[in-house]
Amino acid sequence: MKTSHIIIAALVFALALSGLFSLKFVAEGKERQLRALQNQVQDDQRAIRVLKAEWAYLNRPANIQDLAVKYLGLRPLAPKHIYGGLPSLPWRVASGKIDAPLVDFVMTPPDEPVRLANLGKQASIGDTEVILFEAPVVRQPMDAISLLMASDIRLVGGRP
Amino acid sequence: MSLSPRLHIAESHKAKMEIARNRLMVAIFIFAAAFTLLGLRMLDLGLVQRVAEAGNNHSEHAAVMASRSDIVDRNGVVLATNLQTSSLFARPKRITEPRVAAARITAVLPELSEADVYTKLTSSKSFVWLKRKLTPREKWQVNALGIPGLDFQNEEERIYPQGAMASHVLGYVDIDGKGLSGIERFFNSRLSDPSFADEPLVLSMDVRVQHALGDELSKTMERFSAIGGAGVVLDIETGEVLAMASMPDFDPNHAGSASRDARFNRATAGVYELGSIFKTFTLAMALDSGVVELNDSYDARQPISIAGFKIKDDHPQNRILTLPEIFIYSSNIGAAKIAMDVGGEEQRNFLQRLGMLRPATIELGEVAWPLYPERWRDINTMTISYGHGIAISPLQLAVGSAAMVNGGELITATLIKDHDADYGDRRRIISESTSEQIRAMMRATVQIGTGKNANVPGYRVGGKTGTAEKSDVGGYREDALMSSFMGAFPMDAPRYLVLISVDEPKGIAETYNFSSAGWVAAPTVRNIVARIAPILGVEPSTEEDPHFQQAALLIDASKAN
Repeated sequence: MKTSHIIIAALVFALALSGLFSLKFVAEGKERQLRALQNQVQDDQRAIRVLKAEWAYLNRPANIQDLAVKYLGLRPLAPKHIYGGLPSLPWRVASGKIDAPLVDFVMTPPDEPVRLANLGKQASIGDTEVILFEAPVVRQPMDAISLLMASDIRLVGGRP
Repeated sequence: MSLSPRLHIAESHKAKMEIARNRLMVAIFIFAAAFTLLGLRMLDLGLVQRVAEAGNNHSEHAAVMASRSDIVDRNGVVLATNLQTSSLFARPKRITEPRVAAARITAVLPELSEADVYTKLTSSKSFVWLKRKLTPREKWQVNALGIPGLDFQNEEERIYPQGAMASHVLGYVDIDGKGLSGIERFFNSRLSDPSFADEPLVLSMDVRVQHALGDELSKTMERFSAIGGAGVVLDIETGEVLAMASMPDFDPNHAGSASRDARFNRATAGVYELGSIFKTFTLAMALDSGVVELNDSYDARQPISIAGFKIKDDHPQNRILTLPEIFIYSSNIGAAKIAMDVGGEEQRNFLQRLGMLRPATIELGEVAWPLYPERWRDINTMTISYGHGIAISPLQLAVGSAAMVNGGELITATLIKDHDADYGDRRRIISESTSEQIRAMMRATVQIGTGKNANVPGYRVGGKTGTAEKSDVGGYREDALMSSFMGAFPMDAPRYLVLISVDEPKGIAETYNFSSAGWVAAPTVRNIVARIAPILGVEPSTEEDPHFQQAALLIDASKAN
């Protein structure tokens, strides 16, 4: 009875002791790990600061300009390069038959007679037939997308 | 009797047992109390204090904070930041062979003198700086020497990645990181406040606009061999300064080696007689007070002689000029006569209200007082009407001109981008309709007047030239000019104002040896507008605002000289 008590107490004591110490070691290990991580975070943050400064340095507009002049041959944007809404866009003609940009145009259904002086020139934009006219300025803003979708519509272009 | 001794023994045994039990109980009680205390303390440590400690750990985690917050532009581009560097120091007592050490140190740090290093290494101090703020490469080389007694101290260094760009706005710091000029000085306490350390100071500047301004300004200076230049790009609705340049400029990373002239901010700390741009104020004042109307005309055939001084025109038309003609051909005679009709008192009050008689309000310490006559005589009224006899800073002129263009309200210039500000602190100076008339005349100046070289097709630039002779002891020097141009765009709904001043440009063959504003400053503004308008999202348009016609009808361009 007495001996068994002592043995149980000793066991419990040993168990508690080892448990406590292993817990202590685990906690210390975690703390070391935490400190290492914190150091790493600090190093990374420091590196990020350096990289940000370097990024700003390399992206100096003067630097970009020098590089662009040297390698790209780009020039500053002129007002005519800027898109000013669909109506301001001239039609692009890929065939090369029309060299002057078409600034104004009218759109008519195929059956409707065209009352403009026919120049007799023909061109095509994709599948769409285009006839060139010496047209008075008719500005008719339209939705280019739906225009291109409608294949049965004939485009009648005018010259500036 | 035989029982009694046994009983006695039993009795005494019982008493002893009682005592022992009592003692045991006391011991148990003490131990129990002690263990309870320990238990409570454990609970305390485990549950209560642990939370506090965890909190400490957390703050330790975010520990990388610069001692001075960054400065960024309106789009978050870094203009100034702090980086960690190392400074080299020595403990002379631990240096065993100072002569050899000095020779080897100066071999990798050639800018140090060997004799100097030797004196430091043999000094009786326990600590001497050898070099502050080494580059990582230098640090590695010094470490590779392996000399005992040398050590590094981590320090922070202020870095300006953009170099000389906007150097006059940013300013610079001393070796201990204290702001000595510009924004660095004005916001020194904000920038060094630990509670703001990870919150950058956001300026209203835009590096892209700043680069365009600085680039074009320095090109112009080089082309015309000018001695200096200043430029401002202002948002006339909010008062935000998008760019501010002063030439020559300096690299704030090496501010110590820059000359005084390079560090001088001509845009705010310099005051100049800026010439005919003042006619904008003169005409606005006259139109707004109702003294004149747009279709009134003045005789500009005869120069005015007053107080031994002759007022004549730089672009003489030799005829009777309407108000828009006086403006677009920049007639000094016309402006002087208009100012006299309005009166000196009124002119002084107007300029006072416009903030021309006190330093500009801006977040910089380098702001100069304007120079103007104490006694406002007729001769002063006349010369001030075309911008002579009063010296103001280019920024002041830009802010004043903004009020002429933006519908008539005076704004406060600012270098700080503030999302919360409603920019409500405006004061009406002239009426909306007067501002509209001024805009029409400014547009006409660029279309057919002295500012033709500032026109950018599509961006509807309007503006005013200003050519001033620089004053010297005993009068004005005809050979030394201050050529300025104030332009705003797009003129049908003006949003941005560009002001350029070029100090002492020399005429070149391409400009027929002219160095006046129309030849020097106007093309610079044109180039700047062409570069920044797409950046600022101004849509090009060929359409003109019909109200320009009103002014254009009053201009007889066929008779122009």
